[in-house]
Amino acid sequence: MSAAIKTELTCKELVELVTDYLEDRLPLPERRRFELHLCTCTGCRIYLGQMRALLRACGRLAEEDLPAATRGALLATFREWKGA
Amino acid sequence: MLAYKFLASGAIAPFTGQPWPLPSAGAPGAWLAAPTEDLARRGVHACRREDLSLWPDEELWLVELEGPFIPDSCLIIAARGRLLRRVEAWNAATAREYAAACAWCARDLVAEALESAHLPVEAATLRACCDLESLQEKASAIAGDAPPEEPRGLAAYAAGSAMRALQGRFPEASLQHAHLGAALAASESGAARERAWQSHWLAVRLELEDAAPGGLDALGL
Repeated sequence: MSAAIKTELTCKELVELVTDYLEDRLPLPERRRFELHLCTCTGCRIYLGQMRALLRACGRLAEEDLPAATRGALLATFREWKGA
Repeated sequence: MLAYKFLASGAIAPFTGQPWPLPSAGAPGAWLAAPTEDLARRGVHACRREDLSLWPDEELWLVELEGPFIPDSCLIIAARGRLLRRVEAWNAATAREYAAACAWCARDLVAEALESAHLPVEAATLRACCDLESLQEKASAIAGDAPPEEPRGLAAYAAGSAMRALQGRFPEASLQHAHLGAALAASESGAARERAWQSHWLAVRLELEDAAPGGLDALGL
């Protein structure tokens, strides 16, 4: 990226802003910079697509979808973490 | 008013994932309307010819927009829009041509900068390149480890643009070209100038009408 372009978003900044973008919390100028970056960065478009897919998948999960063994292992990990 | 809109493959809005209703049997697609209370954020976005290079994607469509409109420096925001017809001239082949055009334009700018910096051999080496592979190779060699603000270092932008063009990544090829413009001018105005060149290239190559003033009748729709 050219140092002369101060207003252009970097890939690192996009990653930092992605949650605010998906939750529609970015101010309009930031949102525009975000989308302009997406237009010319294949990697960031793929990343945004992955984040959307992750949100869709997680949004469908219910507590009972978790296998009992996985649930037990997770609870044990959390208890250990809290006790540490 | 008429304008242009880039969409992802399958007439999908690139950011929202919203599928646009397609035209059928010679009739325009159904209208897509934005909520009026937050038009600036949720309005229908489209391009004038001069905005095209900023929003590249796989499909280009001619769209009809209806107001109210919100002015913006790099796009048009409207209350609703519908697809009229796809610009068939924008396809994988012309996208490759566009990427190559950006790389060759970057090559010419770097060669001029090298000549101005009294580096005629390097400039001639770049000018002698006749395919993108050799441009990438020679420009990379000239750039070496030179900082990007030095004349030799500028060749890295031409190498980068050529590399992306060879990979078929037209958005990135055009971005490298625009970044070179900014580096040459030491300001964003340089990038804007190269973006204007790119938009002009697209408008001429794709034979795009200046959609806004003529209305539907001017385009025979």
